[in-house]
Amino acid sequence: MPGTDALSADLTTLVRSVSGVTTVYDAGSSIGRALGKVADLVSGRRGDTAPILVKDPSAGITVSVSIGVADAASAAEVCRRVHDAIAEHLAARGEAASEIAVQVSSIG
Amino acid sequence: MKRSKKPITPASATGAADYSGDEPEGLDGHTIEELNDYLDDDRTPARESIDNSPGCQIALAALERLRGLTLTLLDRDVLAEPARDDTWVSSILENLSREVHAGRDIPIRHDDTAARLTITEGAVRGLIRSAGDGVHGVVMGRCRLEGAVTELGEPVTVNVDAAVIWGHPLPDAADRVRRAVQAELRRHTELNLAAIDVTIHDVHAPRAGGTG
Repeated sequence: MPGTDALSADLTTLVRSVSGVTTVYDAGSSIGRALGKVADLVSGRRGDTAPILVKDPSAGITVSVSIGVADAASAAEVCRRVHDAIAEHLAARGEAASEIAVQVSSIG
Repeated sequence: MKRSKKPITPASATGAADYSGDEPEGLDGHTIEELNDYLDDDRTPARESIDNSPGCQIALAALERLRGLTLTLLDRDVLAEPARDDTWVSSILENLSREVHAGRDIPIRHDDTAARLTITEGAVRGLIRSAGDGVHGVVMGRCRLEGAVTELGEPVTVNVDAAVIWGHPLPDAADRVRRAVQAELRRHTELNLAAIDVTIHDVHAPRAGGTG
């Protein structure tokens, strides 16, 4: 789908602004993150790809997010806030998601 | 400014169990030794592959707590009992490297049928370890979640091992760990806690002439 990269970047900015979110991790696989180590060693940088995965299969948009949460906030509540922010953003664009997956990967 | 290096000794250097085979998954290709070096360098220059790894972030937080402990405890004990301390610190590192991997997805409720909200088992284990380490006089060992954690409402038992610093009553220490873990899990998760079992597996005592 044209525009998924732009949507991913928009959603990354949005999720980072949600209260209680400390980090937006790369939602890709651990293998991808391990490869990132190699990229670190070679170039010192991994690149600037947005970490939120957005796919647009025929059944509808799917969004995958992996976040770190501050210890001061409730991880469950922050997770719901992130979902709701994404859903509202998509609705404002006139789109609906078939799945919004938000994973809390670290706390504190 | 560099931090002073404390004796966070890897198991491979002490003859304790080899945990290296567990590291690639949880630490995304990094090792505990690399994370130690990263802390020594005050995380400078920034390494994105570490900063973007949930497992590394959980491990770094635990290593920092362990370093704080070594400043207050091991400075005294390591001099008196180096072999013993190397072993138990290595055991903590071994457990840590095993526990940081994401593991199972623990669900969070939401009314939207399109929502798939989860907390990783690794994040929850890190939370439990942090809660226990925050109890004065306690050093956390192994953390386990037993039960169908992937199903909302299913009873889950938390099993933790801990060591206690000499001078702290064991029943009281176990109770404080249990309450700290319970409070954190209730605040952050929707687990149906059936029990929190705390096993005190060791007491770290200074030898005669120590201050504790």
